[in-house]
Amino acid sequence: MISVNATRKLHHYWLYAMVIVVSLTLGIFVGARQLSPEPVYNNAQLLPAPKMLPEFNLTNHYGEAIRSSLWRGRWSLVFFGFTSCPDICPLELQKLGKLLRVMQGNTGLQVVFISVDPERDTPTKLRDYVGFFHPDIVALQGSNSELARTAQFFGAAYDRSVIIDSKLLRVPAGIDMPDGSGDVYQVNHSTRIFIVNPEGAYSGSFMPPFDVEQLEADLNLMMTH
Amino acid sequence: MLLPFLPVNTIFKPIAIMVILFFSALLCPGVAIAQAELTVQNPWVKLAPPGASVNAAYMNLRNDSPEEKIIVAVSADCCTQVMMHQTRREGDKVYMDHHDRLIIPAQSELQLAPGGLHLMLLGANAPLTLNDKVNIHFDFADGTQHSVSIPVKKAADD
Repeated sequence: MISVNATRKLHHYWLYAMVIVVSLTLGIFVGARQLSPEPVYNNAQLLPAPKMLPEFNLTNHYGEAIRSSLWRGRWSLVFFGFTSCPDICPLELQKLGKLLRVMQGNTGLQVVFISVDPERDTPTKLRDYVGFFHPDIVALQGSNSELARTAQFFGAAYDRSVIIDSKLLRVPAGIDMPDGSGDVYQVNHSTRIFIVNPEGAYSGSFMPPFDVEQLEADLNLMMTH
Repeated sequence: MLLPFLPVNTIFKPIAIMVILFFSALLCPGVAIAQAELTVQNPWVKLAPPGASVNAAYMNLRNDSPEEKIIVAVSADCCTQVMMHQTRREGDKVYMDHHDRLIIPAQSELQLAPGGLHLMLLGANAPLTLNDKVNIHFDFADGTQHSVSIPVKKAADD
């Protein structure tokens, strides 16, 4: 017959054993996390969970409708802008063109320029424009409403401002430019570079100012992690 | 007297060279403008991609005079319009602010550089190409006018 004291001792042993097992499990778990920490990026800010791109009704710089396959099988860097932009767009596209050149041979990367100025940017104009920075840059365009939907998905803010009859008019994203706008108006736009992963999901962004070496280092880290 | 014994070339050659150098310096494009106290340093027009309808011009305006200088209008022989603009960032969004005038403080300088202040050239008569020269005319608040010739380049250090 087992005495009451012996039963208590047995319970204590079980308790000790459980504490040891739980401690070991926690230790192994935490240790494993320490051994493979999250990569530290120079500039990239990743979303907690990538967000799948919906179908966008956009056309490329040859006037062809894009398919979801555009976003699959490679990393995409997406930049919103317009060709009548004299300062920032050429500055940043020059850097993205350089990035493609320094990562030459890496077919797992593409740059996508989305024009948010459909009234002025024709496919021919876009083709000539992006080709100047790198022959592989893809330019996209669409209707004002579809562009606003695309930009909203990424969280890319933009609007346009025009002076009509000496009054400044701010035209929100998604709205066609009013009659009388002419060819001289401004597009105020996000200058973030958005990242789409090879599964076709929006996974993060780079914040300006951009440095080509830092972009390259972050992308290499992202591609291998 | 020493002079009659010297050949004519020995006297006039250095003078002729000095005269030529003096007038060459006066004609030197894009560096010095009429007002001695105001100098335009490293001016350049950024080569725009084909398809782009606008160009941007950058430079460093140096004012060595004791008075501030105010640019109230700018025009260019290449284009129908020149606007004084400033790229302004708010978060990750950029805006283009229009300026009616640019002030170059006394004994100071004003930098027009990519991502900041710039002259926006609109409505080019023909697309500007590499090494073209653009004549830019400044109108100042004191009624004076000045011109500078600026090369079209890919980058400031080209």
